[in-house]
Amino acid sequence: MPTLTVEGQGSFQVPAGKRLVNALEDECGTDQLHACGGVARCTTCRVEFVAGEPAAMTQAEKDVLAAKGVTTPGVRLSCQIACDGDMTVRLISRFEGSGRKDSGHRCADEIQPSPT
Amino acid sequence: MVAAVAWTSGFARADDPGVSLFNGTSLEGWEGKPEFWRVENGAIVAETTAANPTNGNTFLIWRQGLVDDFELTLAYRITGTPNANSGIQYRSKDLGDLVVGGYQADFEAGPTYSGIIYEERGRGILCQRGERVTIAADGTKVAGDPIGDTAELQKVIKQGDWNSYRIVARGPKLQHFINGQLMSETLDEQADKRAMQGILALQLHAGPPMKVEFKDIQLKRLKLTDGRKKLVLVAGRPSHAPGEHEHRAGTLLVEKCLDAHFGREGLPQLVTETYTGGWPADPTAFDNADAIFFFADGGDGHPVLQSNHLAQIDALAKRGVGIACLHYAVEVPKEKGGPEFLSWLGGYFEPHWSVNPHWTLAKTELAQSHPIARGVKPFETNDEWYYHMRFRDPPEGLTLLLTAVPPNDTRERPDGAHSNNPTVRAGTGSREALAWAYERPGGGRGFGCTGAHFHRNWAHDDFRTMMLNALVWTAGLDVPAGGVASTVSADELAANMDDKSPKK
Repeated sequence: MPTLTVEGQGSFQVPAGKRLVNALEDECGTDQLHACGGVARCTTCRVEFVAGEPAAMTQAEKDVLAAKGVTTPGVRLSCQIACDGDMTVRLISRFEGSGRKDSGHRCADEIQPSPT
Repeated sequence: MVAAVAWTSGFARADDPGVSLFNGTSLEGWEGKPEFWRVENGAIVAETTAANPTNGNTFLIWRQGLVDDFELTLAYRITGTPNANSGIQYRSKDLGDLVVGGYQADFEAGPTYSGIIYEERGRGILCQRGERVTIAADGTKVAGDPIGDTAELQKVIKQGDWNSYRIVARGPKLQHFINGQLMSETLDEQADKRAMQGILALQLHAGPPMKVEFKDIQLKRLKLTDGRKKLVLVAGRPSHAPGEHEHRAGTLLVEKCLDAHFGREGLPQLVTETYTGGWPADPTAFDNADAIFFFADGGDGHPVLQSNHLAQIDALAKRGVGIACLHYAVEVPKEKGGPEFLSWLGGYFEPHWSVNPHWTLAKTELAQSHPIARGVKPFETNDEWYYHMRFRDPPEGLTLLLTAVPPNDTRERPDGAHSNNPTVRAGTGSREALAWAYERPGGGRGFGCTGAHFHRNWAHDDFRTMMLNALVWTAGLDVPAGGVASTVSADELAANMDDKSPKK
């Protein structure tokens, strides 16, 4: 069972293979944004990896990061990543202070769109 | 009185394993989703399969009581994928739908987490295996002397086989042992996040298919330390008309007021636990009580007179556990319970001697020098104020706290077990005691009060303060100078009333 560490929050056990965005919400109790509902459109689910950044990237993540000009190293979309190993992330896109009415629709259990 | 020994495990020897919470054949006393939890070969089994996964972590909750300071031992076996993970929740919160948050004594099939303390739906990993950690008030973790190397500690654990888990929770100190080896030790000083009391539950983790088994679940409650006291409140079954003998609503209101005064956070001086519906199903209910409060129907039906309860409570009283009884709960038959009530609380309602008229207090006097009278002014409520109690003779240790002069017409009813008798009739104009406090010669305190037939009287500040003071005093704590202050809103007063509508 992987450990997901959120800087300043703690270390949490997450079911192997769980979507990172959902683990941040369920297991870690964070207020991570995911405005588009986890379909790789908006980039509000982005987090910054401190350790354990997965090498693989879905095509959808590549496309939207490029389209929105997100180029900072280590910044990734939590809706496009499964918790397959220990990770440490920094929250950089939270509901608090965002001015939004909510964090976004609940994301599906499986990565969407399907990885290609 | 041999049988009484087993019931007093809170005071028992260190090698006493405690009281079993699982009968080996059914999930009686526990609640979980039936599609995941079952009993097999004398063990509780929880299993997920590819065809029957759980979406989130799901729990089997012990429904008979809460835990505060305790030792819990059980045997577990976990199999399935290397990621299979489970744990024992304690002092936790019920989040609904059989989801639980709070301290977890963790274990798994893999080599990393067994023995750590994890806070489910909270602060996450609090202390890793092999560590001693103090969590400071601001949440900072400070490492103490390590217990040992985590890889070495893992060798104590039999993977895929039965292991013994022991949790020792004493105030803020939480220790986890597996197969006798200390695995982690946490001192949780983060007062706004930690828990001193809560539910006990077993976990079935979401994830790939896994199976976890539990057996030999033994709870030993530990007497609270650091001057803290525990009050166990027992509310009797529904009785009388709506608004009368509201045992549950009244008891929960008392608990609410006490908890508001002492706080649930920090290191409260008084810990309360309420059992509703009569005698607790929890076999450990009184094991670490410093005082017990009964608000229930009495007479032959008094909860303490059923089964072997009289001997159980008598053994506790002899060890100094305070006993407080309210309204009908002050009445027991002279032959059965009478002598015990005289020794526990110094007085009781004796049929054919005591009487139960309804009247409004007049010329009320309070024993102002007694701690229970702190912050209480003489009051004049209308209630079924029983009077002419049978008291200890001689009355050493007894304080008549609340007295008043009943109107003459209360002494003019026909004779009967509860209505009148020649002694009462001859006492016209006498001052009568309606609440009393008793200090037993061998230690321990008792309290009785005859009012509270009408639930509405809990709204009366002086009555309520007297009752709260009395319970605090009976538990062995100091009563604050101005009494135990409390407020009760109309909504709070109306809450938790028993359903007394006609059965359909």
